[in-house]
Amino acid sequence: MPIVIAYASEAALNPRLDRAAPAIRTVAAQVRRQIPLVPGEITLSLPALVEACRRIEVNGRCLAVSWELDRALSDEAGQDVLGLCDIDADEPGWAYLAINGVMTAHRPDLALSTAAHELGHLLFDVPAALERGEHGYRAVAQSARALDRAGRGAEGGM
Amino acid sequence: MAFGDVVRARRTALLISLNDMAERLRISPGYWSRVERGIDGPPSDELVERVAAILGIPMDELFIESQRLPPDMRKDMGRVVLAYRRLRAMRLR
Repeated sequence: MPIVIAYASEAALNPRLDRAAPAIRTVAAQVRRQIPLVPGEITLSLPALVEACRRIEVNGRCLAVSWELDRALSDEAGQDVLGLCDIDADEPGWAYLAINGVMTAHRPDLALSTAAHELGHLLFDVPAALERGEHGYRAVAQSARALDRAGRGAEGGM
Repeated sequence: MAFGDVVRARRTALLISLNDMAERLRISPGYWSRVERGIDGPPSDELVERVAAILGIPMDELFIESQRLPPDMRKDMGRVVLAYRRLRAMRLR
């Protein structure tokens, strides 16, 4: 059963608009509502997030998500990165989200926040890119600090 | 063509899906997609050899596309270099 997300697409196409932030919060709430929590727990776990988000429907567009959590990741320059979001122009309806398993090995908090961060790219930036007619989208989270910094300047986009 | 291009062209010609290829190689489809697109570099020797076997591509060809010598030649680097120099010298005569 895919999680289903809907929002006004102009919020993602124009992220600097004032209404983008409320849209992002609304989407975050939609995601949280659709991820089952372990009975008695109030916090979300990474396995629950990954399992719930293997199939996503965002604004009517269906995506099968391939998650990878274990291996070291690097960007095209060979620099370690914390996470990445990637789609393949030859694989329509498929997306790849990965967390650097080496960098997050003893940091479950960092692994979860990175996963949520990359999921955010998938929910906002990927549909926007596809709507603009682009065939690919790639973004990497360079470091833990990059997750805290606001704005696309905090990350590497490709 | 680069390693990834060669592999993707052959894989799609054989109608092997990305997921199927990744499963056969016992790696993630995301990683393999990035290898085929040249975002991640050519994989380990072991994976190159398995890819060659799955896709029916001569192993040497894939190592050439990976821009590195096959493992057996790396182990015998001295003789490889000498053989190459001799071959070049013969061609220049």
